[in-house]
Amino acid sequence: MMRRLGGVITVVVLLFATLFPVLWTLLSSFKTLKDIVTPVPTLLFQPTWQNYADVLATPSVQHGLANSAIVVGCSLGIGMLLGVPAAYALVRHAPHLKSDVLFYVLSLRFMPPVAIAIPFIVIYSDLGINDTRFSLILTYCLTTISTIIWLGVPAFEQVPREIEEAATLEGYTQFQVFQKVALPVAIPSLIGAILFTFVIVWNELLIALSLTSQNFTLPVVAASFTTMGMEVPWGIINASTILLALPPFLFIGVIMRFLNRFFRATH
Amino acid sequence: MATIDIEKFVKQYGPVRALHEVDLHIADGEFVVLLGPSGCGKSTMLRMIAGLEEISGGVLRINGKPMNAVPARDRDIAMVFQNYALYPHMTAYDNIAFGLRRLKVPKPEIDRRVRQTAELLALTAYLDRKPRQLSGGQQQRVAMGRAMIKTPQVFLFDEPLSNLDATLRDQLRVEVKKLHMLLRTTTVFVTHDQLEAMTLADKIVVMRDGHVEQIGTPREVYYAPASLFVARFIGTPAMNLLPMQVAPDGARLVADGLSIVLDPEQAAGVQAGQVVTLGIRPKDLRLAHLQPGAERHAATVMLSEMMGAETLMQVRVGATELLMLVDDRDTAATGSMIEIAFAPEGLRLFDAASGKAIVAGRASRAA
Amino acid sequence: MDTADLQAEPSGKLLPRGRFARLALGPPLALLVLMSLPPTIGALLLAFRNVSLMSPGSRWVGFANFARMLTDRRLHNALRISLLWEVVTVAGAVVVAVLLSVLIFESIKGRARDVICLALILPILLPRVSAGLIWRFMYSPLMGVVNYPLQLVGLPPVEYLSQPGTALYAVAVVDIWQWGLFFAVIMLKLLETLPASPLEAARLDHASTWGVHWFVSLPMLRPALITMLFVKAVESLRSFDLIYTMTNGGPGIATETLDLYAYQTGIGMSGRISYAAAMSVLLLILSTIAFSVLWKRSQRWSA
Repeated sequence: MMRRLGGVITVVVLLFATLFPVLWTLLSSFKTLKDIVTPVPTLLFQPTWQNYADVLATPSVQHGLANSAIVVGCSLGIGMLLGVPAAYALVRHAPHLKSDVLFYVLSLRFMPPVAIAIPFIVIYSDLGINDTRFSLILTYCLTTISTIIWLGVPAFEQVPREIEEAATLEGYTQFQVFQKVALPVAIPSLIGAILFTFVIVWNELLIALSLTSQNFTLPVVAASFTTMGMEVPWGIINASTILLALPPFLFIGVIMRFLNRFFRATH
Repeated sequence: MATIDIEKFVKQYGPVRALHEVDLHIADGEFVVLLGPSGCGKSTMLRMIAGLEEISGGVLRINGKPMNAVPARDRDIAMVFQNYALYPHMTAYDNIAFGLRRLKVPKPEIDRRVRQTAELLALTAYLDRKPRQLSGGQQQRVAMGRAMIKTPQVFLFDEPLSNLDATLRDQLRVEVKKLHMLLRTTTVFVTHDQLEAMTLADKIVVMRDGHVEQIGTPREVYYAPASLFVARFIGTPAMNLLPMQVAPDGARLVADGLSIVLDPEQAAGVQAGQVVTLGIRPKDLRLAHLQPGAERHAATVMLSEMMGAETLMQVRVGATELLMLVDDRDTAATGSMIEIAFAPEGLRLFDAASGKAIVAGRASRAA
Repeated sequence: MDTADLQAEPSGKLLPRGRFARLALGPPLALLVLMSLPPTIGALLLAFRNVSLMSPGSRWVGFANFARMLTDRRLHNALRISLLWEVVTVAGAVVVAVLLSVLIFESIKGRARDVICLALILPILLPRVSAGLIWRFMYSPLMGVVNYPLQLVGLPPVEYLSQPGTALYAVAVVDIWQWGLFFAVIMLKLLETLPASPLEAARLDHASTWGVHWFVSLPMLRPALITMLFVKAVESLRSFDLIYTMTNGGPGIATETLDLYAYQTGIGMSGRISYAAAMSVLLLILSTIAFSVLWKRSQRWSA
């Protein structure tokens, strides 16, 4: 019993240590500069929305946010459009290709971003599309399509083969079986896969940093705050940090359920 | 309505051959049962008829037309699966209506037919439930409704009752029979349960290891099994099988402590010294006083199990143990000595080496 | 219309049947190949030239860039830092994962466990930039929360990110904070999928709690642990985002890993993109080796 209590205490302490950094930043984002720049961390203070107001008013932040939304949205959309049917086709119509394609797709996920960014800088410059949203979307498609295929395959493998056979016997074509039976049944897992992919591209820095200068995304803006010399506006940085992290956090519940389903299915 | 002709079906999985040149002809409206243990190829054959498995060799004809190249969705066949295969994201109503929607049948017509089908299967109260809210029996009935609503030319059933408990199995077996009597659709039914086969089939195909052991009516398969395998597989309690040898005079069978006379027709089919297996059903072992004129054998009762109106007795004759099924009134106590007789019309002879039945004379009840 | 797309060849092997399969697989795979070929080939081509973003024109220089790598002290430093980073973050993440997952497995059940899992996957969802900034804030000598306990006992504040001795480890803490906790959740999920009987049998044999895990459950999860090790190893090669945000390779080059150096060379000050390409080729080779081993291992150990 005591051991159990000791364990619980340890876990609570660890939990605190885990969440503390995020909570501290959240707290600090509501502080005025003078409340932040004290050697003694304060817990009680006069909260202010000013930091968020300033951040959202900054043109570079607005620009970065807009670009992030557009670039991530488009590459995710293309990823879904191309990746989901491909995952299904691999499971049902080309199972002998499945292992090889999964290997290839996974290897793409593991290519170091530097190795991708550097050649593309030159290629895009030569093509004249350097520093455009289009080039960034295209590059991100590499990640979105490969991740969605890799996570989509287990999702479709969980669809019982017989219900698709039943639908086939009822006269439906391959595409109709996909659209009316396989897809609806696989949707819960697919949503998790899509959100996972969203988090990956939303957070991406290196490629965006390398390929853009005018058309930067939000992580680039956030990173640029660090090179601002000595007069570092920590209140604003904290606010922008929280802002950047918000979209992934919003989906945490769904992502957790996706993880649960993934492990229940593959073991 | 459809006739099905299966000519020399072969199924090959790489180096493994799952079906070896199977021939089968199914008449219009016939209810054919593919019966056999797991792995005998019965489900594979069914799926080949459906178009869910490629036909490695041979020809499938439906109504005379070769169907090998016709995709599953164009064969006008409906199938009921072992684990129901209902669409989990649709209600029972939608599951049944799904096939009709594709044919662009007008809504009120769909509704009428769905409700008609539902009433036939006692599903009206469950139409707006999703599969996970239905019991196994209800789900299987929805699956049957889904199959029959489009009035296909062939029904296929893949062990549909195996996942149900005993009572439900009996109930749905009756439903299947009633359905067949009502619609008279050509049906192929796969099962490993010989009771289902015996009660449902017009014709039984007994299969083992990708080969057909026997094709016959339930009576034929029961009273005139073509091989030891069929003899063992059909009938509960199982047939007694005794290894014996033909006596030098060619007129008797002998084994350790047991000697049985053969009638002339049976004797004609064997040679002196041949090793055979004698088959006799428990019901064909009689108490000697009930079979006047027959040869008597002394036996000791080892075990007696009451099964209601009948009793199953395990008796020992010489060194051989036999099961006999007698009327409850004629039960003898354990340990007692009785005299038994082998009803001559119940004797079945099988060649011990090949397992094939030795067909001799007439088996009088297999008319 | 649909009968045409069934191939009735008695080939035995099922070809990708039908128009649907070709349409579904063709475009995405084509796009992927199209987008992945340029980096690999392009990097090689660049590496064999002397392209610079600063000046126009270039010519073929053969293996000159690779030769230069042999004598580049900064590169050797980058390799050393990368290796150190690999070891620290991979070991740290796996150790944290094992310890924490066992702890939670033994102490917390039910609903509470789900809540804790939610909290533990929060850090990994953070963009690396955000995580970097959060911890930079906390490490700050002037107002950082991490230095506060030191102040209370009268010690001077430590400049974690500005001292060569501590900088790399300070950043590694953040990486382990993100990945270690995430792996802990995965390990926990895996522990949950283990059959209960062997563990119960071990407990009945008077094994201590840690003994049960050390001798029974962890060995059963060995394949998964090894996979995790390699996944983290490959992932650690992509540490750019974090280090760039927190120290940008500093102080000096104390935290400059290989990919950071490549970035600085190619896109940072110098614009010597060919040399950077050579470095990224090196990085590509390292990743490929690690990945291939990972794949073979996971194929062998998967069901």
